[in-house]
Amino acid sequence: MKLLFSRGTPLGLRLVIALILSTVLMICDSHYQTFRKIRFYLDTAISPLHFISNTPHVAFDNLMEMSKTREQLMEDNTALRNELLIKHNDLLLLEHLKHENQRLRELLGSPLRRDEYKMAAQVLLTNSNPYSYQLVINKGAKDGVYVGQPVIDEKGIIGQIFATAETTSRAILVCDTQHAIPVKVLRNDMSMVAVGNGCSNNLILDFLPNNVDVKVGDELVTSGLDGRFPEGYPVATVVSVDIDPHSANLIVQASPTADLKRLRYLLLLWGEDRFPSSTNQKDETERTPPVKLEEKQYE
Amino acid sequence: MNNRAAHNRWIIWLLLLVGILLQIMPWSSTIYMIKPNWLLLILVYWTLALPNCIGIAMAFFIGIVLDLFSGTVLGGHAFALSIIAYLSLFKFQLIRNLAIWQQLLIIILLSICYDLLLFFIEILINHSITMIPMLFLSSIVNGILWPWVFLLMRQIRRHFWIY
Repeated sequence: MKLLFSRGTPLGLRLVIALILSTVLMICDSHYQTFRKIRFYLDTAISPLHFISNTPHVAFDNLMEMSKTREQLMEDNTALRNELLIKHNDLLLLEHLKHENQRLRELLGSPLRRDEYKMAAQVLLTNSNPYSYQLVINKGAKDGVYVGQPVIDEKGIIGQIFATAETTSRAILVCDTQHAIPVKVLRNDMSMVAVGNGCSNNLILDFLPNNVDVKVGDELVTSGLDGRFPEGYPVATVVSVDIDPHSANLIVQASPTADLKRLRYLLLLWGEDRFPSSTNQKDETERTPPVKLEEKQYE
Repeated sequence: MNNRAAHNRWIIWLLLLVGILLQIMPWSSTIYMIKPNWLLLILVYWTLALPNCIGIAMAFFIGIVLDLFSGTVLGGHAFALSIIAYLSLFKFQLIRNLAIWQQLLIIILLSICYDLLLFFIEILINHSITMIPMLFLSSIVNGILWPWVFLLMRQIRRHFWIY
C-alpha cells in the first residue's frame, strides 16, 4: 500500500482551507469594486482558452463554407447583391429624413441626435449556466470596449457589456434576471422599464404609469433615459397583458425582438462621448448635452 | 517507476482541461436539462484513481478556472468542487471497490449535491433566481455516462502508465 495521508495536512483540514478560501473569494468578488481589477487580469490570463474553445466551431464553419458548390455561392451572391441594392435604396431616403429630422430638432431647440460608432464582434462562447445569461465576445479593452456598452444585432438590443478583459469581454443579455433596460412604447411614447426574467421567460415590464395604455403587439424601443442605450432601438414586443388578481396591477410581458438563443455576430455601439481613441471624431463643434431625466445604475 | 509516473501526470492536466472545454461548450438551451457535467465525472475518476495526486487543492484550482471561464462569482464552483472532491476522497477505497452500477448511484448523488450547492450559492449572492427542477435530470445523465467515462479513463490510465 502506498502512503495515503501520512504526508501533508489531513483531508478535513484541507477541505476547510479550500472552503474558507473560496468563501473569501466569493465575498470579495461580489462586494468589492477593487476586486474587479484583479478579475480583469485573471480574465485576460485565461482568454486564450476562450479562443481555443471556439476553434471547433470555427473549423465547422469553414468546413461548411468549403463544402458549398460554386452554384450555391453564386446564388448567395446574387441574393446578397439584390438585398444590398434594396438596402442602399432605403438608405438614400434615410439620409434625407435624417437631415430633415436634424433641422426640425434644431427648430425645436432639442438636442441633436448623433450617429454612433459601431464595431462588429463575434460570439466566442454563450454561457450555458442556467442561472446567468452571458456571452463572451472577441473584442476587449484593447479595442476600446467599456463596461456598460450597448450590444445589439440586426434585430434589436441584445444586452450590455458586463466585464472586460484585454482581448475578450463578457456581455449580459437583456433577459438576465439582473438586467433592466428603460424602454418606451413606440405607439405612444409611454416610458417604463423592461426587467429580465430568465431567458426561457419573457421580459416583465415594471414602473408602469398609472393610466397605462399597452396592447398586445406593441413595439417597445429604448427610451435613452439611462444615458447608456441610445434612443430608438427595438427591444421587445408585448405578448401578454394580464391583471394580477391580488393587487389589481397589470402584468405586462414582452418577448425580446433579437433571437437571444442563437447569436453569432453582433455589433458594439459607442455612444457619442465614448468614441474609441483610434477614431478621432472629437473635433466636432460644441454640442448640447443630451437631457438626462433619470440616471439609473444597473448591475 | 516513480520517474515514469511523474512523466505522465501531464495527461491528467490535459484531460481536466478537455473537461473544462467540454463543460463550457455551447449547448442548446432546449436540451439544457440533459447537459452532462463532464468535468465532475473526470475529476471524480481521477480523485478515486490517484487520491495522492489529485485532491482538494486540484479541485479548488479547477473550480477557479471554471468560474473565470463561465463568468460566475469567483469561488462558487471552487466551493462546490472542493466539497465533491472531499466526498469522493473521504471513502475512496470503498467507492473504488464497488461495482460500476453502485458507483453510478454514487455519481448521481454527487451530481445532485453539486447542483444543489451551486443553487444555494446563487441564492446567497443574487437573492432571487428562477429554479428549474428539470435540472436534476442532468444528474441522471451523469450517472448513465459514468461507466463509459470510467472505462475510457481506465484505458487511458493503463495505456500511459499513470500510477
